[in-house]
Amino acid sequence: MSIINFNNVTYSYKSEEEGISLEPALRGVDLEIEEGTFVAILGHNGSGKSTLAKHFNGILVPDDGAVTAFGMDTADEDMLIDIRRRVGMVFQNPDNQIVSNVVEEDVAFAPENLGVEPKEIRRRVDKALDMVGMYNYRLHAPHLLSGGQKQRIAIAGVLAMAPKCIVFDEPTAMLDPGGREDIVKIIRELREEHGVAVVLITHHMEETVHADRLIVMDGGNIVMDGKPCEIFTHVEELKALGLTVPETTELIWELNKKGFNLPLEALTVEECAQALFSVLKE
Amino acid sequence: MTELTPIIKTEKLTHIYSAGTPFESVAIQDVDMEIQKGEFLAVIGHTGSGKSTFIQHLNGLLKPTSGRVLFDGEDIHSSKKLTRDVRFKVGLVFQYPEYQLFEETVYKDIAFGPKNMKLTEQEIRDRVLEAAEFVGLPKSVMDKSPFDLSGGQKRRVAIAGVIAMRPQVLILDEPTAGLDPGGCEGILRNIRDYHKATGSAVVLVTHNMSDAAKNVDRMLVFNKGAIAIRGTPREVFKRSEELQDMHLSVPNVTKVIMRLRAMGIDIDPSVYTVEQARDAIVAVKGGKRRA
Amino acid sequence: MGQYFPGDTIIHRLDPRTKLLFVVFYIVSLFTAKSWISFGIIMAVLITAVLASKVSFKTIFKGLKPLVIIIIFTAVLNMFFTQGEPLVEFWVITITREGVTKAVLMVLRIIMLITGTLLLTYTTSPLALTDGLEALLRPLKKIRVPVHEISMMMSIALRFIPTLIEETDKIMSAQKARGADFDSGNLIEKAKALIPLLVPLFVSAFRRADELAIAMESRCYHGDKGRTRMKQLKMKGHDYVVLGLSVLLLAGVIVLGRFGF
Repeated sequence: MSIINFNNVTYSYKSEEEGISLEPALRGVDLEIEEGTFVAILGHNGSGKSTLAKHFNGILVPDDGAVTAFGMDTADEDMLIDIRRRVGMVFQNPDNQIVSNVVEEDVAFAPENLGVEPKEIRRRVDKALDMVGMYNYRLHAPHLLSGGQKQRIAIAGVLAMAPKCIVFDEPTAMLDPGGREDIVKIIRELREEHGVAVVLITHHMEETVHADRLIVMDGGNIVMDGKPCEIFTHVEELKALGLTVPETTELIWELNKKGFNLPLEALTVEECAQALFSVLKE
Repeated sequence: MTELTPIIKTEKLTHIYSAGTPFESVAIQDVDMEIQKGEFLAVIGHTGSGKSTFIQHLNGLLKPTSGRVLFDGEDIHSSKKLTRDVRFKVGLVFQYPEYQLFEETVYKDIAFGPKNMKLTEQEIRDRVLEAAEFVGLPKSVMDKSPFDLSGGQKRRVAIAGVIAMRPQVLILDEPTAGLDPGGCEGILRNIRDYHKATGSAVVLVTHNMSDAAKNVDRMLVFNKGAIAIRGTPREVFKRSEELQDMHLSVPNVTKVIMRLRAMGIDIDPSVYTVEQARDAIVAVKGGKRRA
Repeated sequence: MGQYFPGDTIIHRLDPRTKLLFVVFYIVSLFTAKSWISFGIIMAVLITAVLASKVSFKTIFKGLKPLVIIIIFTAVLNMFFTQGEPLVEFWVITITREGVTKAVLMVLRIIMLITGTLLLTYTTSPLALTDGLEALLRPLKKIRVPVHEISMMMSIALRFIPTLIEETDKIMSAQKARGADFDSGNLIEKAKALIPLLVPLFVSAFRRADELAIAMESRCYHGDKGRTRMKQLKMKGHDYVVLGLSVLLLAGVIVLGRFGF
């Protein structure tokens, strides 16, 4: 069942001088997100992927076309709270999403806004902190945590709303490799263990390897849409779009040019090593 | 590599934050190293390994708790004048440098460093234009406000602002953080070209092992406030298991090769690029064929 | 100033509203007190509170330090400009007996005032403090004072102070690396040297504010309509005891004043 629908969505940022519309950032995007799936959206800077992200929960509203989330039109202001409790958002800079100077108070922020009973808030906060592995830090001050830890707090803050879908807008762009791995692991767990639909917007190819579906954007439109292992076989097209492919794919691609016959869909390190092993052991 | 004359040398460099208080923490301890004239060096380490503290000693922003930093053989804290001179001779580009822009125009912002050096208008102009060219900024943006530029271009302006001081050593802390693959490659290409054209020493500070390995002559790996591994990229990647223990992410191709070795394939372990991995695998396959 | 030292003493466990009200009664008592006896009683209450909070006197002295100049200034002013029976006379300066008494009382009053408020901030987390303030000021909402908004602003400000301090350090280092000089020169030059620091700081603060607003809206923030709290403020037995004692303290000081003490 699809939970979010983009129907011919067009959007242009408005210039500060009145009446002047800038180049459209989205040009007639059609997109459906299925319940409980992990969808990754790739694209270089300026491809429109962040603009797309801001349409999921009505931060931006289409100039033309419509976005519906769980059957509600994001342009309908009366529905915004109902949409946002179902579609959570995690942003790039963890510092600028945290409102409180105590971790657990911050995680409680969204359910408090929704008027949830105090006891139920406590339960949700503890559960959310546990899901991101930060329960032991519940009484810490966020500004003393690392970037990756802060981002986990931000995720817990969204989880406490018990959303059906979470949109991550470049959540790892400001993190070091350790923090990045933690976040990617949490994203996978959300989908696999808790059935939350995940939309991950990123320009790190390796993070998209485990997605159910990969969408590539360019010039404000969707240019590729399919399983990651299918998309990554288009090595040259991706490079032309200013993107890279995972190193594993590139290695296999290079080897095949040298006369090997390896499967391009061996994406993970383990799959790639296994494929190579079966060729080399002979 | 060019002739081996150290331009910067550290001797038992130690820095302790909040020394003498209960919050005391040792950031780096007894670091000995040299930067040679004109070399391209990478400083690697995860967050909290001490690398950021270390580089702020190289241009005298931090004062050692103990130990010395020598520039051209002289202790950079031996006189106030020398400390100030070293600021200009050792250019330091901080992480997310675009957040330090403040002037009305791109030109003025790049000119901030040279102006502080009290150069003539003509000399400032030459340096600003030269620096802008190194980072690939078109002339057309020079009179624009830096705040109207895209993220990638802002970063170029900030880097140009340091290059314009014509430092003999250029240190860049995570210059590609947060950029998309195209943007990363563009900046790295600019840095490589700059290194080739000027012959200045360049220090790339990063936790991205593959970016570092593909560009530099030599690597220093920081761990727990000390240099744990030093050597050429090939020498460093031979010790990939140790790197992983230090929470450094080795490139996925290196992981594939490590995995193959674990499965019993005898293959060159010092691999860190796709091309090297390809050649190593072709070599193994070829060897088997011959046998 | 404003630092919080976590702990688990009776003082820490008091409801923030109790502590705020206690401090109000305590301050009014201080300004009502005229005699040594009254001051002695208030001092005894203060010392008991400090001991019970396990905040060391050293910490309190540290908190008082920045205000030493104000304290000395008050003392001098009272000592030299009070009429009465002369104690010392030289040149144009006269120190009177009344002057000395008044100076000592004023200094005591200021020190006790500051110590009391320091104890409040030392033992109450900033968040609890804003929550307490919001709860106490809630009646003002009837006359359209935006109590919730003010308290939200306060807690966000508290949250971002350390972040902005860290950012200031970073920008300062970055500009120093380009040869900026924040230390030398006259006042005008020094002010001018701050531009490379302040402009990026403001730009960044505005960017943070924008992003935070979007993040808060995405987490369903829509003012205090229908908003609940995870931690309900709850008055317990000891809160009522402390409130009773603070009323008693004020009443006692007023009664003593009536009898000329």
